[in-house]
Amino acid sequence: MERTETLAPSGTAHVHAGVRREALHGVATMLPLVLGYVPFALLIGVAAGGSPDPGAAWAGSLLIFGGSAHLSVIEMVGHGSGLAAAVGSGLLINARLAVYSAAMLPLWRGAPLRQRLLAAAAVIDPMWLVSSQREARPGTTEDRRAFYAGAAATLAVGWSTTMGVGVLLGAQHESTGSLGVFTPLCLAAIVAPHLRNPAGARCVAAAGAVAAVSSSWPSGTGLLAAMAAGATAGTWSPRQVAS
Amino acid sequence: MTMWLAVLLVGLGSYLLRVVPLLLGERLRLPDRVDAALGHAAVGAMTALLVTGVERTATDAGPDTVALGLALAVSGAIGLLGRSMPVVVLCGGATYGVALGVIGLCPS
Repeated sequence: MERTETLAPSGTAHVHAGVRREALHGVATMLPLVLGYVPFALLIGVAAGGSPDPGAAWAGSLLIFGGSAHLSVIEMVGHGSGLAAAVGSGLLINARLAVYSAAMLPLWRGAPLRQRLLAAAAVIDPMWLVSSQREARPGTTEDRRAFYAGAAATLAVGWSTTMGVGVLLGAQHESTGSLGVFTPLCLAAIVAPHLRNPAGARCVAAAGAVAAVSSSWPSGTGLLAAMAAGATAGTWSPRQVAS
Repeated sequence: MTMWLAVLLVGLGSYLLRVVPLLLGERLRLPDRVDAALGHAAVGAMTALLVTGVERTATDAGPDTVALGLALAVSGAIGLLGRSMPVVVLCGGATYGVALGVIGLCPS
């Protein structure tokens, strides 16, 4: 082994060092994003802690691994919506993951099946963001996959742990009341940037109006209607009418 | 039991959405319009959760509602500038606290 290192710096040891460096780079890149998601993870954790089955709700942190869909499932089940409505809205929200996954295909083309199955479990907005940033920099496919692994592990551990803290907070009813105000604030942080482009503004306006009107509708159908309205208004173009 | 079922089903469905493109490769291509519609549907869901969250928090026209309205206005403005979530939430939370304090000092 020592001889290989001495005579062939580009051998196994060198490759392993490069992979380790890339994995650590993935960790370092993901850490600030994980910190950015702390309020949202805490919020979902608090919602999970206050739900009828906190253990099941927390398990979604890794099983669903998507904040918006997870929060939607907790809220809809917690408020007595039907199972079909909760599952339907959760899957509809997460349908965008197919787009991210398809976009990451060049990174995983030709990878062993086990690697692709593991990598798929971590596909989510911030993973797509950091891996597309890494794609723009030089390096081998192995480097990029190691980077992805480091970033994915950091996100999974940080997300799940923070949500666990939120579950503990949510179980204490005194603190839940004061944290309740952070729900709209976290969601405002997610929604507001979309107002900067016309399609996003149309989507938010339509979804908000439908959500307000349909708040008394049964079994979470209001959420589905708001999603449909947002999707329709966002993809609708005024030019289509003009032409 | 319903929560476990919902989490497991959404988890399984979400995993299939993630893994199928990686397994099927280039044979799966979503049209741009469908791609955009899915993105807008997710934003629509967040907007709807925001509206219902506000409705649940602001149950009457009391000081809490006024403070929440101010906090949302500040958070929205800062979010519009593209600031990170902790900054948006901290500013909104601080506004909420200050507004509640000021309203509490005002003679009724």
